[in-house]
Amino acid sequence: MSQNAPPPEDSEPSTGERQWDPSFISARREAIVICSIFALLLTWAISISYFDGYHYGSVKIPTLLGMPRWIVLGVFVPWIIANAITYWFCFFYMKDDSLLEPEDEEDLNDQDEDSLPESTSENG
Amino acid sequence: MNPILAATEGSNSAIVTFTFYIAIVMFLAWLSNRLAQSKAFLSEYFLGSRSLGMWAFALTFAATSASGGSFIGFPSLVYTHGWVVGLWIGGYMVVPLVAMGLLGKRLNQMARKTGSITIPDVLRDRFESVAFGALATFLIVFFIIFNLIAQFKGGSLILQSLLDGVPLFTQSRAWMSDTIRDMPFFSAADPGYLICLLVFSVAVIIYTAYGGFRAVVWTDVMQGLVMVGGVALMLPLAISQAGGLRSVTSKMAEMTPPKLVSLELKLEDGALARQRVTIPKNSWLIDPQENGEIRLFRTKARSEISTGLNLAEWQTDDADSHRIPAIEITFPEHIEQNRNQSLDAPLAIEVVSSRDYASGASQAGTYVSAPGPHPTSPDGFLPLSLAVSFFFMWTFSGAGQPSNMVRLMAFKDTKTLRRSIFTVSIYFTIIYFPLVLIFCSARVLLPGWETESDRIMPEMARILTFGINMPWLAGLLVAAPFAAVMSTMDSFLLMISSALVRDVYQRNINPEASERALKRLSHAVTLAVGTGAMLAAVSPPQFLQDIIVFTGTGLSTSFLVPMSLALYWPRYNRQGAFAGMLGGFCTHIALYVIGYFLYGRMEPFKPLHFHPFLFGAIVSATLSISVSLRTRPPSDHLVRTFFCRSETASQK
Repeated sequence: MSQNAPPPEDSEPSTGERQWDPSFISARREAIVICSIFALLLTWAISISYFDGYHYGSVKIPTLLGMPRWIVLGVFVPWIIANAITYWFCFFYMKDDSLLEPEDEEDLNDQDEDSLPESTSENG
Repeated sequence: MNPILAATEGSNSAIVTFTFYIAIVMFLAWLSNRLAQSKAFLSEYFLGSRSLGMWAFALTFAATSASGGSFIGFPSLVYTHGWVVGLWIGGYMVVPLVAMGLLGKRLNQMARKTGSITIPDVLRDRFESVAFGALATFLIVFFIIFNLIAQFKGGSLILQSLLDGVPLFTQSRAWMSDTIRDMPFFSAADPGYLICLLVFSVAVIIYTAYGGFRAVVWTDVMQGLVMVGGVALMLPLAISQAGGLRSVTSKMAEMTPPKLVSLELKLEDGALARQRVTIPKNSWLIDPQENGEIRLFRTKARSEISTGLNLAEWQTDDADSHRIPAIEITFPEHIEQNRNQSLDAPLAIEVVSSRDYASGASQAGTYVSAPGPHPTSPDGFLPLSLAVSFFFMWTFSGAGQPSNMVRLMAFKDTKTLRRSIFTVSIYFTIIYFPLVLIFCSARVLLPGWETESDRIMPEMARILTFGINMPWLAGLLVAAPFAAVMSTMDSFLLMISSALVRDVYQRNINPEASERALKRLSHAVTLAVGTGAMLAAVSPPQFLQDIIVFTGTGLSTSFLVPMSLALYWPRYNRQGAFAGMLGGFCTHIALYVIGYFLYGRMEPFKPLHFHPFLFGAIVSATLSISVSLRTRPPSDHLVRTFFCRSETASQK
């Protein structure tokens, strides 16, 4: 980093001068969705397992499909659902962004612009 | 013949399988090297020219993530602690989405923008800091060297387990024993282990050094398929031979953990040994009681009664070498099942000490419920806070591994990324959950392996294939853990090599180095690092699995937060990155040091039972954000380069 350059005043790029890269915006949005999916599945797996699996210590544990019920409902079912969500995310939500050098992708960027309103709103 | 004893006998088919496997790997390396001739060397050798398609990218990612632990340590845990290990590994349901989706697109794009080939490359350019790049290089080399040594040892132990009892291997071991007898550095090593280390290491070093990243990826693809094939074969065999899943669960619900005992073994009636008497490791010993009941033990160590003596002793650093470690079976059905396998020797057994499991002792149902039994922890195997921690750790630790990050720089487009995330998601589903089912079945089929639970995978392979009269198939099944170790080792080997050649030599010492010189240096460094790790593994440190966990979480606590913020937060600056990376690293080390002083072994201190990774990541994030906000923002051109559209594109 060049130390001779005057330090910027705040964290956000100055409005009107910078335009966020649309692929940065879409990747950031996808990252937020991924973290939300993680939180949802974590909550599911841990809460079901806690309420149904942590207080037995006896021979008569409820079973489902030949396995302890808490494992089926707390791990196996959310695992299957996680695959379904992953399918949705990969094939219906995640955006195909170009990974090329910016100079090489000018035309592609122009095509993306219409579908990414956040990029303009962040630039003020 | 007793099926269990018969199944442990070896045959040359294992060697045939192994040789065939290595031949394919070498062919792939040769093919890869041929392809590399026409491409820019460094980008091809360390990154496969950023051109990985879906299958290559998905399977190399999956195979690298699934290290030896997945087929050695993980089965051992399922066997030892029961169904609760399903929850322990549950975080893998979101690992592909988080580990690939969170950073993949941005990291790949940033690496292309700057022409980066390695992770330190990306960080150095993002923060325009040679020192930060050097810190990242140092941490990668520091952690991965330890991990590499542990993986070399793990791979050799698997091979040894596969070849034990094979006639050719037995002959080779005798030859090696004679050869190393007078060699100071090697004489202390087990000759069988040494042969396996040599064969295994030389194979991995050669194909990695010769073929580079593309060879590693192609072999990963093959290894990934071998792993899933192994699991797919074992699952129906295990469940059917154990009598069905319902039967497995109901039997596990009745099981109680063994007792941990020390035994004194003497020849009966004070007799002295006329010749040396050997009591092998994992020997069953039966002790009939006066009331008609019997006690059944299984030894955890090999012991001997020397000529002219009466008392057995084993090799240990402890003062009392006459106390042979063993377990006492407490579940009546297992006693009945194994009493006929007792060692046929006139031994008097005295129980010197006996200790219950700290959690789950005498408690039916402990193997089918949480937190699961544990020999030393009164809180059980998986207290709730640790379950939460592991869910976090698997997912975000995977995202923070530099070996995974490098792969995220190598896929060719986002379509490949999308398809690969889903493919890996399915892959992990058909690997990990079935492994839980298989090794729960192992508790029914092979009781008493708490003595050496790391061997449960090859033992299951042998018993299952013997059960269907196809013992040759065992070689193929055991190839799965072997493939898992190889696919991790080759990636780590290449990472160290790239760190030294690209990050240290080319970017800091000789930026003008010719392609030819870099090519020679890359081959030489990969060979040298591999050979060094192999030599270190001749006398490896103890605590194999602990070292792998230590290095894996150490890398992710150091890299996850700095890399994530570098990709997504334009305000993140060099000072914040330094603070975040060092903060994560130091927290990790500190928790291990405290743990060492508290427990006397390589185990981290876990405040409130939360995994150290969580604390490391929290400290790293806190320092990253607070230091960045208190120091000057990054320069305008840096933000524009990495977060904004190019000027020309904007003007259009």
